[in-house]
Amino acid sequence: MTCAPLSPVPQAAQFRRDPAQVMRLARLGLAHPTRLSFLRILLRRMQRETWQFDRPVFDIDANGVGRAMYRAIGPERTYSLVAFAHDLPADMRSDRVIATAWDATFALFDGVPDAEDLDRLAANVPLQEAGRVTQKELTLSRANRSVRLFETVVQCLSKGRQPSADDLAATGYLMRTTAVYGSGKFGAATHNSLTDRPETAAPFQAEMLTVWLIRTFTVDLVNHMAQLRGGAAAVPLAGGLRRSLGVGNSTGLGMAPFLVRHPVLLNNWMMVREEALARVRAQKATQADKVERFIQALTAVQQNAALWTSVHPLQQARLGALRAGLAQIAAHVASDWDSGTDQPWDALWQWGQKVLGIEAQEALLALLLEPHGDLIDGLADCLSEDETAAFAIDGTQRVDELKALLAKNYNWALAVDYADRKAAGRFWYVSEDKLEPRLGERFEEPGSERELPLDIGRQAAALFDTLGDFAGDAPVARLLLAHPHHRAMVRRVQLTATRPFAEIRDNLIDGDMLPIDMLRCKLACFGASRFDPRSDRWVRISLFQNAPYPDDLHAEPHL
Amino acid sequence: MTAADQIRLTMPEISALSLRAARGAGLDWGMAEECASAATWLAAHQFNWANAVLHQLETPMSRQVIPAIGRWHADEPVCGLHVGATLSDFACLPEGPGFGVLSLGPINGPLMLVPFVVRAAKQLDTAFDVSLGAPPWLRVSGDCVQVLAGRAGPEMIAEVTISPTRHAPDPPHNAADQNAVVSRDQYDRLDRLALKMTVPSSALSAKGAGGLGLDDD
Repeated sequence: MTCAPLSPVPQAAQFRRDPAQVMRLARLGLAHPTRLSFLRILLRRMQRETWQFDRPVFDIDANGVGRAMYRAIGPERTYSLVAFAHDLPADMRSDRVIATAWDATFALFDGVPDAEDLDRLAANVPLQEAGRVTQKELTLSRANRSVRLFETVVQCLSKGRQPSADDLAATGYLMRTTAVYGSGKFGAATHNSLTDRPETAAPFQAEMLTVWLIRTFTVDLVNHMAQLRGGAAAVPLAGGLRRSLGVGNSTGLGMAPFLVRHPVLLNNWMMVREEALARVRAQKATQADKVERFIQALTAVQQNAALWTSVHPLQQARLGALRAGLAQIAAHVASDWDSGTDQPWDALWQWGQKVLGIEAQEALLALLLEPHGDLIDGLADCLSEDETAAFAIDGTQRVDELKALLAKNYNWALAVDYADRKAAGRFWYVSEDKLEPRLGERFEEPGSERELPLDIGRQAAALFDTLGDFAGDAPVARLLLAHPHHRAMVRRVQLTATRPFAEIRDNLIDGDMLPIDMLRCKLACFGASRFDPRSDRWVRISLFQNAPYPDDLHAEPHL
Repeated sequence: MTAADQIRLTMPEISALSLRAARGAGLDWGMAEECASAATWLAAHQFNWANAVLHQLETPMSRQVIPAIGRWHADEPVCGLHVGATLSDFACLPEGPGFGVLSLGPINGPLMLVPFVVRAAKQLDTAFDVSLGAPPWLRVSGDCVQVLAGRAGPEMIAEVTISPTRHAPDPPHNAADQNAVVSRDQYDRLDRLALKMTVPSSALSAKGAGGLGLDDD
């Protein structure tokens, strides 16, 4: 992270939270989307640059089979979502990565595809992992219909009726994606090849654009099928109902190792958010319009929390805590908080630290950022980084300096007894059948000798033990010559010298560890809402719920 | 070779495949990461990355080298990947190449060494000539590389010498390709190694990962 020297709020440094507090899994697992989440960055840019959108192809029959194309036309480049709609038998519909057929498949094309491109995409995109795309494609994805909602909505609209708002709220989407692949997967363009484009420099912008256009496709599809079925009697989905729908997403363990395998990016994403919070807290005073915007955002978050449901007992408890905490914030802001005091936002934050639970504290963080776009939106430029630049190990570092770094940034890991069956109860591995990450029970299942290196705490403790036998003034190069198996951990420890948010500071092989906390941390960075865990290791979420569509993006006041 | 015998892989795919293959071949994670990084660099600069990686992973060879000022010691030809990683670690130390001509001794698969010499050049902000005997084979500087004479097959064993030079590679080769071709045979061999680091999914883990039944709400 190199943005700090350019900060317009240099005094923010004294307001930054300690990484030891921020990076605990119990807190990361309660993260909320913010205005610096990736989908918000995308929407703001497209609005600011007055992107235009159209739908040059929509050739789909009454069964929902055919193809469509949507174009997003920016100031310099055009991107096209090519959609293939299928008629999937109900018994083939599965969200799991092992599925081989979907209700719709998509690719985001760089430019406007010609007939030859479309033929090539038609032959490959419906196959997903079994096909290949090219550098002309930025993403590859697929989605399944919500059986609970999709047909009901088509049926209602075809008969000239709007579907029930309650039914829409209960599901929240017409389709859910089960994978959105980008950055070089299955032959697609790499992120590195796109970083010189402003619109794709921030993380996952191509993926977010894909999902946003898929959202439009899902609504167009139900309107189209209703019209073909009902003829003149059919009506389109009403604007307010349309707005309430997002795109669902099922996310499993495949997403979790990313946060460990990309410490540089994790650091940047967290550092940006924390710097943003610190800048807001450092403000000497505030203005009435910012307070008003804060209250609007609070109201919207309370409404969202009221509609947010989950069948998972853990999430139900968290939702209860969130609603109660938001009510406390509303009451405090209405009666006790003095927006005219010195450093008013910090006063509100400090109050929250004393009174609120962790879930509501993290919600308050997101709320504090909302009115302060002018102060923090530029931080989006600091989210991406070439990870290879930080790859080389500094062999000249003294062993005692490495040891001090370990003691400072990994003290959470050093006292754990990894011989304990609970502390080392799990192991992460790659599945033979789909090459997907999985979590095994170390003492019940075979395969732990092939585990993935997500046992960061255990590796840190082992390295610390080794350093005890090494001369403090010896260079790290000598350490690695004698103990080459510590190479991966030495690289990580050295990274934390300048990237204090690079590590999740919890034991990721503990028997009680909740993978869904890792998933929520990453999904909140994307901008996801309505987290709905279905087990301790996979979760349903919604993207772009209550966000504008291409046809009303430029009428939106607050992005 | 026909198009059907080839696969075009992106750099992230080359990195992931090389990482898993290296791990499947028994390297520890840190060295597997080095292998993936080196493979990606070689691919981006149009070298035969797959042959270089496969030779290092499929051929039993020594990994023991003793760094010393001016001349490194080894009892037998040493794995280019391991010497390369060690060279990177010692780049800025007296045993490294920044203080004069450095003889690395006999290297098994010197092509794999190249990405690490480039990294050392970047760390020291200098240029190097790399010789497999004489005359110099490569000139490198930062992310630039120029082939001066001859070639190094992946299976080659050669005495490698690194010499600081005041001459920058000319013309600088700054290619950073986003994908590279690999033959079907190379891909299959790498994939077979990669499978050795995978684990069959148990019913228990599959259930927790998303359920075994249909999911259509």
